[in-house]
Amino acid sequence: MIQFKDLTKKFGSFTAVNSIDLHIRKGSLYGFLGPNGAGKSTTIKMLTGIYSLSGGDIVVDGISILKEPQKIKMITGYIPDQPYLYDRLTGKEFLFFCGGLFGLEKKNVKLRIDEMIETLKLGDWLNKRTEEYSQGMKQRVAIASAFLHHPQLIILDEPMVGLDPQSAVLVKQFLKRKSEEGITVFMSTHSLNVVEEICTDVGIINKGKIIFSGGLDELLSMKNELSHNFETLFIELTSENQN
Amino acid sequence: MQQILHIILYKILAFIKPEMDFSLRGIVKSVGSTVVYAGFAAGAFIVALRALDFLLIEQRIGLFLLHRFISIVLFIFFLSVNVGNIVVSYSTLFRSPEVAFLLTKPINPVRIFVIKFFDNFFYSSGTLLMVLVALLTGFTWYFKINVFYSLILFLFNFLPFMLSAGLLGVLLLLLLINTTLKFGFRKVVSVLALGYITIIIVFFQLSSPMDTVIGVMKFFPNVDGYFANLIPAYIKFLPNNWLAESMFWMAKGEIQQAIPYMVLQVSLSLVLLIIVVLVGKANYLKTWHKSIDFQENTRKKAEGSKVFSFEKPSIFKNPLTDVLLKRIFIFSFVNRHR
Repeated sequence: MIQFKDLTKKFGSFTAVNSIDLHIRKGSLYGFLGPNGAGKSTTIKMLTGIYSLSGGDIVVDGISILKEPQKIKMITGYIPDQPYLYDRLTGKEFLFFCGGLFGLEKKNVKLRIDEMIETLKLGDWLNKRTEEYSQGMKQRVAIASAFLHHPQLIILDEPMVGLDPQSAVLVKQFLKRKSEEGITVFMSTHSLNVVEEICTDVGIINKGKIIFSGGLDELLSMKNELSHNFETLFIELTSENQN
Repeated sequence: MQQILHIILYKILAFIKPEMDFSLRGIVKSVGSTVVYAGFAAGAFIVALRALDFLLIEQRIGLFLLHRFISIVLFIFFLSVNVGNIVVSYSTLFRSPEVAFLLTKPINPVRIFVIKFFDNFFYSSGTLLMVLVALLTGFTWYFKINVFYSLILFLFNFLPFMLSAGLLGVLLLLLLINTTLKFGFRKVVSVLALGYITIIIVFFQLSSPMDTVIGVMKFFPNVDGYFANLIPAYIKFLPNNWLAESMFWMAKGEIQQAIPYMVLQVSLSLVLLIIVVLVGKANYLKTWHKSIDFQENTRKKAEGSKVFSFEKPSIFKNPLTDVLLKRIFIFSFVNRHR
């Protein structure tokens, strides 16, 4: 579904992402791990069009981001770590706004909103202004907005940050279900538990380079072989790479 | 086009929704700010009436000289709106989280550029616009220009005049960002500041207010006529002059004489708008990316700077060893003394 081909991002003399090659298969729930400043968010921002590419290419479902970025955006939903919502609009108005950006008809958006109310437990909150929302509720509305247009790919940047346990469980269940339905989920996270709990594939990035990429089972067998817990394995992998 | 209208519709919806604080404090705050704004507007209106009265009745400078002074004030105002737009547009077009949000959606970047420009133009210039409208209302009230012509003056001369200043500002901003990355911020800003100072000096060299006053006063007391020969040729090409000329002819009640200046004003703003759209189409996304790279680069440099760093790096390369030893130290020595 996604192919990073020799992807590079430089800021002046600093290389944030260094010639990474990755292939994320369709329908996988890919956990993108790495310590702070490793290049996770930079990779995601290139994938979503916020950052330009210094080198290489990203291909989503056979479409090159360099050639047809708008086509990729049509099949993608993006949920940033700090969701941007229009404060004065209600959640429902915001969802209608987002649906319209993808050219969806109002009646279709309404149907989708009704589905989302149920699955994401948005309830009456949708009729309140988004400025009244907690971080968890903002994240849920942002997730709902990203799924309105039936995307094939969902990109999430640190989705669990600032979530209360109830929202976190809900989001994890929702993402798992969507992945089972065939939607590809690409998610950067700090949380090793989240990866262990819901991801099917894992990639670890450190200092802009991919140091591990494969199925979760591969990582788990590695963990068992070394008799480590997940945290220790992660720290070892990233610190080995540093040294 | 449908997408642009959709975005504008929801932006208007977000804008017109009243403040949601219905507490006593919130209501007092809203009433207070309305009174302050109304006070500003009323003040500007009264100042306009008094100033016109003073210059025309007490000082008897005549209509022509009055409008030459208005032209000078409008020139300075044009430059202020222009510079203001460069500064404000930078934050709305290149640092705004809303732009980052919209860029992740299937929207042509030039649409985001145009929407954010107008958003910035009307929203950030709101207070200024209100005061100027009050001044203009004072002017039209003084000369008993009817509401219809006053509206025409506002819509087809004053608004395009401001729009041209803003559009030129955003064009300069795109140029500024692109050249800054090549030549450095200080050099480019210094050249720009020098450019503005030169423009102001040249303007006053070409249209010396003193020469105009002397020229008009030769004809005293017949100073209400139109002294075409006292307007330097170069000044006739400036939008501030077109607005001042329109006001002059409207004040004299000769509306048809004001129309060509309105046509010029509207044409200029339309041409600038087309240029801005074309330049934005070709350059906005590229410039956004360059600007982001520049911001990130600057941030990384600042983070890398050790001048204000109080960090004490560990002598142990493995963070686990570091944490373990710290814990042993705390457990063995610190806790023992409690």
